[in-house]
Amino acid sequence: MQLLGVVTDEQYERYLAAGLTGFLFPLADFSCDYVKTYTLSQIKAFRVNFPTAHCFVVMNKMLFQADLSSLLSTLKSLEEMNVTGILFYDTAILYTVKKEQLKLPLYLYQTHFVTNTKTVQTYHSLGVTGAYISNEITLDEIKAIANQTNASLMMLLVGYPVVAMSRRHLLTNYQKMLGSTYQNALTVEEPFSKQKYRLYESKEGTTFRYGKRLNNSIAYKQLENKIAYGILEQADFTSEMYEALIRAYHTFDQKKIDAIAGHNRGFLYRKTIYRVKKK
Amino acid sequence: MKKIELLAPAGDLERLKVTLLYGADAVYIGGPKLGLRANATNFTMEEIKEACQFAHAHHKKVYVTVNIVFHDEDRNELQTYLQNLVDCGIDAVIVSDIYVISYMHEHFPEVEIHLSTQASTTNVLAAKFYKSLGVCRVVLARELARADIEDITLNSGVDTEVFIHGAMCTCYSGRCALSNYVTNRDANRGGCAQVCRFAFVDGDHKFTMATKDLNMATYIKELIAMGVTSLKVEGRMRSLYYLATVISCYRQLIDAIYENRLDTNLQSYIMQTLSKVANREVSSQYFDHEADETDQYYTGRQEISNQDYLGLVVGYDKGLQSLEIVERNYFKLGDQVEIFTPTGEIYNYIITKIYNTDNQEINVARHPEEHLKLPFDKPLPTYSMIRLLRRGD
Repeated sequence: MQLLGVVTDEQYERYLAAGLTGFLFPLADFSCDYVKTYTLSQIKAFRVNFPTAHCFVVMNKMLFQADLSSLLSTLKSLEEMNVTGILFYDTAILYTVKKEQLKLPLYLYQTHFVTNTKTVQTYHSLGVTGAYISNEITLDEIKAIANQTNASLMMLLVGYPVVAMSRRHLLTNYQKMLGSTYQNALTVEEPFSKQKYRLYESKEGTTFRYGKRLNNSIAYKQLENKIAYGILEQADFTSEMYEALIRAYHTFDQKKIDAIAGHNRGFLYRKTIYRVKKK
Repeated sequence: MKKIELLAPAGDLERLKVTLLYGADAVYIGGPKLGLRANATNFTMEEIKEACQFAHAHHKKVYVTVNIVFHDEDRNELQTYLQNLVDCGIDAVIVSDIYVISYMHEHFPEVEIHLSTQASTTNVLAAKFYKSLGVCRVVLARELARADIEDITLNSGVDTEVFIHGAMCTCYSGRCALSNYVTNRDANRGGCAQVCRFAFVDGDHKFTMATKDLNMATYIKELIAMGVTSLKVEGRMRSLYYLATVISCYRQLIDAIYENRLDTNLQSYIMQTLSKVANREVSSQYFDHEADETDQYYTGRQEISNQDYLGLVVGYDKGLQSLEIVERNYFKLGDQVEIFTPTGEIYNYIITKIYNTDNQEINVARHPEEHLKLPFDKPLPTYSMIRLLRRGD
């Protein structure tokens, strides 16, 4: 499993030296869920400066009519840059890449939808190179997918999982109603479960992330040869902590990883239910 | 020009029959498995077969949801399940998973494939992609503005289905796992706990994000003009009365538009009638504006209990010249009511006598589910309903 980063401080060289093989770049105007986004020229600069590093571009927003006019030219620019891959949510991107026969490896990144082998396989048969596995499935389910597909798989190793995305500007609306000064970040607590959620807005709407950092180090160890890429999100880590985390993953020092990233294993051992037992 | 379809939800066989009798052209239902209302009553295979027979006898259609986001374990029964649905005579499956689309297209090309709103289709190119896989209709995302709906409808080559009435999610359909994290119930496999209607805490403040409901009655004419194929009402778990009222209103509205007789009086009557069954405030959400603070609630749930529905007509006593009804809510002598029928007639009526099952006169009906009789000079169709206009003194 190769390690990819989502960074906030652009210290690419430092993190590549520590063990990352590349980065994910959320593309401005075409991505959501990420606080920091990148323009095409910033991504191009990265390609020029680090030609051997993987460069994945995240284009995971829902596309509307107004977005379509610049879609093709954007994809062509990325093709010219020879990026490693595009992480897409909206199938308009798959449709366009196929129709225009663009040489762009595509990775399915439908946040909560990559939950089974057949879906991954079906997309793979349509020319999609790989898929980013959903955070809400168990370790056994991940293993089953990994064992049964030839698609190149990605998974989140460390980060705050995306829980939901709304087109509504929930923070703007809420703070307007409250009469308070606008702040684009809010942590709220669900009072019964005591769980915290981080909300922030972009022009695409509002993203909810789980308030407790996920650490899938156990999956990393068990799936090292099955999953192509593991993602380490910097989020609120300092540069030093993030570098230490990368090094700990690179050499697989689980104690150190857990000391830095915590012990939340998400849904790896927690199967969701959907039928509530009638009393 | 083909008339636009009015598509109703139904949680069970009785509601299915009522919605069709009240003017729906088609219904969508959940089967025993693999739909997004895992905790609703849902239909057995035998009931689906009966539903199809009933609908087809009335020249109407039945669509079945198979729209969960699958995990590997859900696959085991999928093929047999789809075969059984097809054998029941269903007209379409509503799906979100690309594998199910491919499988249906390959094995049952005679059955229409409708793409669920779970896939949140928001643009014409995505619609074209699904068309290339065999999808013939796309249930559009509820976040679309007028221009988006028009573009997809005019340029995608697939039929479009648009939500016009009912509850809204706060987040994009399919792009929400709040329920998974807060309650461990899988939202995308039918276990949604409606966490977006929970109250969260922000320090000393309550943070809520619940949305008001959708009501597009004002824009039906526009949607028809755009060429939209189907108008969808939300609410497989809604009551018989709610469904009868909402479907009947939209039926009247659509017919009046096609017959060029929609005037402000009828529009206003329909809006008033719809408001009687609403348990939340309504808005047009994204259609004509960017959804903002006026489309949400900020101080917790604000739902209104509705007790206008007084009774359901179940028969006629010729000897007593009375409608046989089942009481649903309290009423009494002197109350002014409206009786509306599946065939569209509406009768204004003042309650002057109430008979119990022993044919004794009573003054007050205070026991829901009790069988009662109300004098009326002719029989009315079964499933006619009585609603309160105003209380008597």
